[in-house]
Amino acid sequence: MTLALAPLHLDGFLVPLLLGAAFGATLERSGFGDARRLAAQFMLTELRVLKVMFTAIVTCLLWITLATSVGWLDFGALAVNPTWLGTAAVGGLLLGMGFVVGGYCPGTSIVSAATGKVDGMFFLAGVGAGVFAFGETGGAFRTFYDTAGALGRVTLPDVLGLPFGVVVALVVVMAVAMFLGAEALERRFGPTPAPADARPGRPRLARAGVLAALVAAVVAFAAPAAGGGAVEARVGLLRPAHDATLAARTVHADPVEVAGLLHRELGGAPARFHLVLLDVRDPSSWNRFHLEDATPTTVARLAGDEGRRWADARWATSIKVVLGDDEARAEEAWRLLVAHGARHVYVLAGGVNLWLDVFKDGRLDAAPARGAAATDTLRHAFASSLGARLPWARPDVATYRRLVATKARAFTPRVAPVTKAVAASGGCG
Amino acid sequence: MKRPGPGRYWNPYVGGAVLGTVLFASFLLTGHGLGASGGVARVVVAAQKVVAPDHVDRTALLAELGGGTRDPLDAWVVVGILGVALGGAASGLLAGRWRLETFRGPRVPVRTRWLLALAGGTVMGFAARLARGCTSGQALTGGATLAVGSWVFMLAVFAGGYLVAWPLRRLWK
Repeated sequence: MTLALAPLHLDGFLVPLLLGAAFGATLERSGFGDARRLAAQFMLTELRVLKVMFTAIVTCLLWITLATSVGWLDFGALAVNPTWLGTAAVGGLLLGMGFVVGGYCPGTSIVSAATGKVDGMFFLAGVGAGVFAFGETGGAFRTFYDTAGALGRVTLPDVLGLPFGVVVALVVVMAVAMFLGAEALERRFGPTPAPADARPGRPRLARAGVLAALVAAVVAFAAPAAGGGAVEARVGLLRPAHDATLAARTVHADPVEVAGLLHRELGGAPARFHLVLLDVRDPSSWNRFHLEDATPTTVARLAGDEGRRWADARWATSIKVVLGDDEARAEEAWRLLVAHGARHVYVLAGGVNLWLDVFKDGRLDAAPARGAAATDTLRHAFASSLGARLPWARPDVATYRRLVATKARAFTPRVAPVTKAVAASGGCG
Repeated sequence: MKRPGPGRYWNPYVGGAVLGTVLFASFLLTGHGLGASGGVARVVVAAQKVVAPDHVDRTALLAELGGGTRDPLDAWVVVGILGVALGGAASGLLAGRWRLETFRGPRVPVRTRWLLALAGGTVMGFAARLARGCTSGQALTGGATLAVGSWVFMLAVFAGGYLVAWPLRRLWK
């Protein structure tokens, strides 16, 4: 029913193994297991490294642009390398020098060694030695390592102040210009005749490729939701399915059922689970009255990082109940949380108004306000702002048990028991 | 169709498009990109942990990967480099390129080439740890997510390479 929100965080054994194998095979087929073809980049005789790398970056960027624009992929949830300008510059310079001396980089040396190349094996052994040396001596310049130009998760669109799609379009245009330059350099410095697999393909095909790249650049330029806005796009994408779910009221938990959750009771019996109450009402409503242990938030905040947080693995098995004064605003918050990929999300049926109808006024037959009556404002009057310091902020467990046992208030249980948590993934290298 | 074999590789633009799609699949399925040097670093720390576990616990840069009860090998990037080796070997075998040999410039003797590979690898292993990634995990992966540090790194790699390319041209020409 609901679409899984990418990324899927499949970090077991098989997925990384298959991705690694595809990576290794692609490097091998691209000629990256041969130091001579790699080092040729710096001799200007063959610019295969530049062509493969920038075609890969452009291809991946265009896929990301497409996937985020239609809401399949949440860019904010991707692991974007944090920036340390100092270590990137110094490390990059050293790495480039090592490239010319040794003829490989770590990934390509693995491929080279795995295809029997002795120089690749020596290089890989060297990488091990270098990594060892850094681990033993890096502590001496730890301050530089930790702080040199540390900017955190920052992207080119952030620093340039341009939309994601515009930056992608600029990268595509830059790449096409570099490819044309690379072809010219190869004609000037390359061997004659050029190796069979380095000759430019059929010119018509090459022109078609350039044209396709430029069209892709224009499309990226015009993609407003690229590189973000994924959640809003997903809410739109999921709207028909969510409309049906909300109309069927299968995620609307009755006040009595939620009162049980406060006492860790489910279906009239104790249960083990973690509960999150998200209150999306205005501060004035919150101040006058709110449920004990509720967390104040807003729909806007749930659209951003905070919503993403409730959807992440730490809270995967928490039961989350969204509270509004009535239901409309809470349902918007529910749509966002589900679009972020959160599970076990419910809406307090009738909102805080119905809660107070039942527990404060004792109207056990009260129903959620509908139509024009549902104003999404607090209709119960309070002499002063007492917040959660009122008995109805946490009706006692005896009241709950009595209401369930005597069936004094009729309701359909909606909250499902939560099963075991999924295993957390490993860290980044 | 061209016959595969030594020196018959994919058109670089085709290879790049496939590589970019594999990278995107990684983002879609796992939320992160690809890596190589991080896997080597973890294997080295795992070996150090066998020999001198106390030293790993006391050295901050090692403890981050394998201190205490941490298993340095319990990470996607370690599985990833295993996959790179398997995928690379399979592709080389199928293309008839698996052979025990040494790739070198025309003027460089075999043993000299081995020493140069060892030296270049050492510099690169050190640099990759300093930069928190190599051409795979930093330039390619970070480049495709428009990370600022990764683009700086990429420019620096090309700058560093071209800086020494002229004096070292006899290694490859």
